[in-house]
Amino acid sequence: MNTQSLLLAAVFFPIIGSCVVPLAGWISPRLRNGFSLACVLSSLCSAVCLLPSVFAGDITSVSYSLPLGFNFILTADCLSVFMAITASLIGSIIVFYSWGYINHYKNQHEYYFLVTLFLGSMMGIVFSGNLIFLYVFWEVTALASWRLIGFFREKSYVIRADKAFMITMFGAVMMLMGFITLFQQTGSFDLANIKNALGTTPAANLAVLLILMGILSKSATLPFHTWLPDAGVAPAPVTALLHAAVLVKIGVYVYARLFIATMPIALPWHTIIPVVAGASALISAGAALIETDLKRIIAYSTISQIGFIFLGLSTGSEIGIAGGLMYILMHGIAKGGLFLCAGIVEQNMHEKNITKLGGLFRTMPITAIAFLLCSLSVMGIPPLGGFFSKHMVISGAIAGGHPVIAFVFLVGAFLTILYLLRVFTMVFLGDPQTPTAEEGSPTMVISVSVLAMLSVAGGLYINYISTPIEYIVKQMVR
Amino acid sequence: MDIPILFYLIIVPVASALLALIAPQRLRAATAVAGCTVTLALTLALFSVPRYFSVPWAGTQWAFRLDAIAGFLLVATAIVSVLVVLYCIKQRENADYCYTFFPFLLVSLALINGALISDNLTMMLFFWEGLLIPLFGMIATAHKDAYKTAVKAFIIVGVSDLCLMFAIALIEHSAHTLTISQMRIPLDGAGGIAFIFMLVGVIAKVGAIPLHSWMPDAAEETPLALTAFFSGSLARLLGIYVLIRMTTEMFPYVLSSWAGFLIIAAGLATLGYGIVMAPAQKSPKKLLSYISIAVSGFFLVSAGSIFPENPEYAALFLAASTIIIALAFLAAGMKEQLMGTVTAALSIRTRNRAWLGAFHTRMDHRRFDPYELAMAFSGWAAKCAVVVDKFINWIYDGFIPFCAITLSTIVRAFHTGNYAAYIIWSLAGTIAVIVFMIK
Repeated sequence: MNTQSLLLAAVFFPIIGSCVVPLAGWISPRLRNGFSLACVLSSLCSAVCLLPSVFAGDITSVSYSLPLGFNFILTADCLSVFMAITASLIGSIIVFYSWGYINHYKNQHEYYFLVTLFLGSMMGIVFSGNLIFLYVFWEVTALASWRLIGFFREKSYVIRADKAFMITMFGAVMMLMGFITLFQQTGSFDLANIKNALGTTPAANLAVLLILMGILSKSATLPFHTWLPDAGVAPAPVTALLHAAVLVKIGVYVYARLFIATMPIALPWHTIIPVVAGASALISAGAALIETDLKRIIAYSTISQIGFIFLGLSTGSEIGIAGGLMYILMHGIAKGGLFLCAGIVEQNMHEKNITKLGGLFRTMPITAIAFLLCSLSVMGIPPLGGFFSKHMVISGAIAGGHPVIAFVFLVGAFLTILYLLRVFTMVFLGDPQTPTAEEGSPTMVISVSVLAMLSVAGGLYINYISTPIEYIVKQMVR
Repeated sequence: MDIPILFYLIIVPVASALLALIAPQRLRAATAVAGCTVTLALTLALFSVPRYFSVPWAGTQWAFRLDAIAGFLLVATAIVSVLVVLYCIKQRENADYCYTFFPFLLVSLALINGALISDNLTMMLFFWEGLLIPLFGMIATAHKDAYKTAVKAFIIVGVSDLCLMFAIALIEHSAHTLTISQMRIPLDGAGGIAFIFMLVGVIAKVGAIPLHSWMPDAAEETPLALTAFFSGSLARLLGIYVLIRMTTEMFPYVLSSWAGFLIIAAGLATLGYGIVMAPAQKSPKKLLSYISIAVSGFFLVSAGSIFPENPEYAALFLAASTIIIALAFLAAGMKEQLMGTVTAALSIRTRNRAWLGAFHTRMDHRRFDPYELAMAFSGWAAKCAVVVDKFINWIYDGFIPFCAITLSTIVRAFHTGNYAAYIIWSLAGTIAVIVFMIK
């Protein structure tokens, strides 16, 4: 396959495949599960196959001209391939985990259809070279996540799903207005044209503000963060998808794609965005510290950690951007692991309140160790991968001339240690509060183990991650 | 050839840890002994020849260095590890714990070795902060309620590590290098702030106040093997080692600035606190732990006044003291095992003799000799060993070293010309000693 075919396969195999998933389900649930995983793996394989070409400096592009300037363009460069691999890798593990998790519940065809569509749309966002199609894929992910959050159909869950949809929809509309404002400035929706038209001229502040509202709402950053903890009512793999691998990372990816790789933004934004991110990181970390619902704590943790990613990306220094990208990968892996571990605990214990849990280390040792390793990575403890990303982000903030903001994030990192240790000790150590349960199904345990091992490997083999990321950053800021 | 040899200081303990983890229980002790012994042999073999190399890794130059200071401390670390493993094999009461303890011990040994030979700050932080995991594991697995202390230790040391991370970022920004041997940072602006944050990191590691509280708790909750190995000796060794690097290389103007005073002030406060708190303890483990804290204070004072001028002797002094403190903990552990729980009804003096046991009686517990202390302070190696031999007893005997160090700060004040700050602090120290005596 040539690179253009690979690019098309990465996006359309899961999107088209998602429609076939229910049909496969009518034949056999196993066929459906396997086909869904194959769709996501096809994206992963396609993205991996694109690696040699993009790291050789080639940019693969597929373009179809459409009326009114709505050109359908897919572009594969280092950043998009990196993001595609990150999302599809974690997505694949989550789909594999779902095999053991979702077979206890109804509407499984719908579940696999939505998850596959969701990941396919994510690929669409990642590779999109036109703002309008980026918006289209963006909205498809919003629709899929809305249905997935309310998957269990209970009234309160549906209300929370509606809330998530409305907030992200509001942000998306603002972002669309921002795109239109940008179109007025540059005369194009194509990213390459916008880049050429702007050159070193900063994008209009109004456009930046509006697009930023969309980004912040999707990545659940203050003040648009409230939907994310409520989304914890969704099935565990879905929350992992939403919180760890895909949905909240869409926002930071679009930030990197637009405001670093495509267009410069005015200097004050390099201070405003870290300040907003710092406030988001601190407030949500404080909320995580007093919450008692296991999944809400991890959700607040996600909001807090997204602040670190924004800090890295927004400071303008190369080390900070590299740290932000690395954070996307390391946090995605570790947070995905945390949510999936929480899913095992919730499904087997029928309880999410950490004050009513305890002593699970004895009966769920693999889950407990996986949870601990993933927590340590999120805390930024060596030799796990999170250490390097956190260190680079803090260094980037100081290199970008923001030592005070870096210190604020240091406090955020301290709070991260506190709330994650609190969760671990209350859930897995001490005396059991209720009768304990055994480990989850083999697929679930394998999934969390793989994510925990990836967290460790990410630190031990950091050289194999940092070198390509440096190349990506150089290509972005060129 | 240098690269593989120095790397073996890390690889051998890690490989031994993995083997100990998967080996049947009866073979774990042998694996641990072998791992520690080979590491000790390596440190002895490498001791005499300075080595340096750097390798590009993860976008930066990861530099390794073995000089006299690191050499001394590597040997001391390996000796303590061997002693602790042998102790674990000898004592039977906590046999189950020791079997889970061995992998943690070996990983800690690898990380400490890594930190000692690091000539790159990020790499040093990698090894230094990595110690949090075995520390947490060693404490948490001691018994079912020990995790609370493990969490406390993790949080305190973790916060200090974050401070170190912040300091390193500041240093990188201001010095434009992370290679320790190449940096000379003035103590103004970002350099000064970086120094303070690094000092906070060191203070938590050595168990100096106000970040000391995890050490006595860890000593109380865990078998003495752990205390001897980590919190009682090697954590302090690592902290003081970094402080020596700070004062001799990274911030070479410490002695003639406010930074030296800051270190001495932290040291005196820690020393005084340790001495005051030790006699009040009912638990022998806590008592030893507070003595260890007091020793940390002593080293801090020395690091802020004497060590920068004699770094090699400082390393020797530190290495010897580390081994002796570890022995004290192990001796106390054996005694505790023989005697059972010792009650608080014993007098301080009796406690001293009872708990330091055979170790105590072997020592020549002569009267305090200011000449020896002065020579030791001056860095004269021959006297260091003599002074170190009696150091625990001096500390335990109360206020004498406190007074001596207070006196030394006054002498130093006149020497440097910075009279006011030192004299005020010395007077405060003297008042503290009087309060202690009355108590």
